[in-house]
Amino acid sequence: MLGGLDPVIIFQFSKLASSVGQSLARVPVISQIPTVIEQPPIPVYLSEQLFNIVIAGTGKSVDIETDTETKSDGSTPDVNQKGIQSSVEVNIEGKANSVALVLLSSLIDVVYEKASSKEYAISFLYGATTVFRGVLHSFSTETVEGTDKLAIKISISKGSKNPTKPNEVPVVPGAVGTIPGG
Amino acid sequence: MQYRWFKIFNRTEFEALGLASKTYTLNLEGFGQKEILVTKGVAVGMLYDDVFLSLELNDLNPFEMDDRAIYVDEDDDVYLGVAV
Repeated sequence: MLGGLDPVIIFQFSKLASSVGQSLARVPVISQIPTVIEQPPIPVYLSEQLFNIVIAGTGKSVDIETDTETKSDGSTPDVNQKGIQSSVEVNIEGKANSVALVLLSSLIDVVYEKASSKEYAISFLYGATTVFRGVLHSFSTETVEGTDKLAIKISISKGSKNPTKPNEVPVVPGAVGTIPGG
Repeated sequence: MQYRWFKIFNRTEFEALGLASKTYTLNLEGFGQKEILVTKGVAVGMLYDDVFLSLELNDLNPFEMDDRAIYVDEDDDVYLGVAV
């Protein structure tokens, strides 16, 4: 809950600006060309009253790779660490025909397509458990035996990366002749 | 034979990199995106569509093989030729 409101997952999609912007940059009236165009955020309210879904539980995990290097002279070992991931896991239960669950599942499909291009971010607000502009780590659903309910497990990792435009392949014009320019 | 010529790289600049090989990804007009592997051994050559073209082999410039050709001009610009 956030300030008396329902838990909410916010999907933020963006789109890399086309290379047309580079040409427009030469126009003096345009001071700045955006490289990423943010689209309006899509909130999904996990409301029990409205959508028959409920947060069954949340958890947080931090994973750090730790290498300990002992010294040949017996002195204090060196410890090298590298962050692997920091994620929040959310367990949701709801009726299979819930509009919010259908919407959630559809948005996850969109996220899947944008995983490599990094054109998305997910925020989750639920009391003290919050993630701002995180990335999807995993998503799974399973039916609860003997009921019409679905159990959903979402894991959101912290740390969204800004999308970057891949290098464009240069176009090489061809010229016909026995030798170039001949 | 008539070829459609595309400038791929500059030999001086490639040799200055000190690399044994480098892949150039280029969009060749009329042929689409291609990957051309440029290598340096005894001589500089490039691999295009499974045909290896060695620069100035047998003192031939352009050097032609299997409807492909490689040519270097006075500025050390290296061209790929595809027979038309």
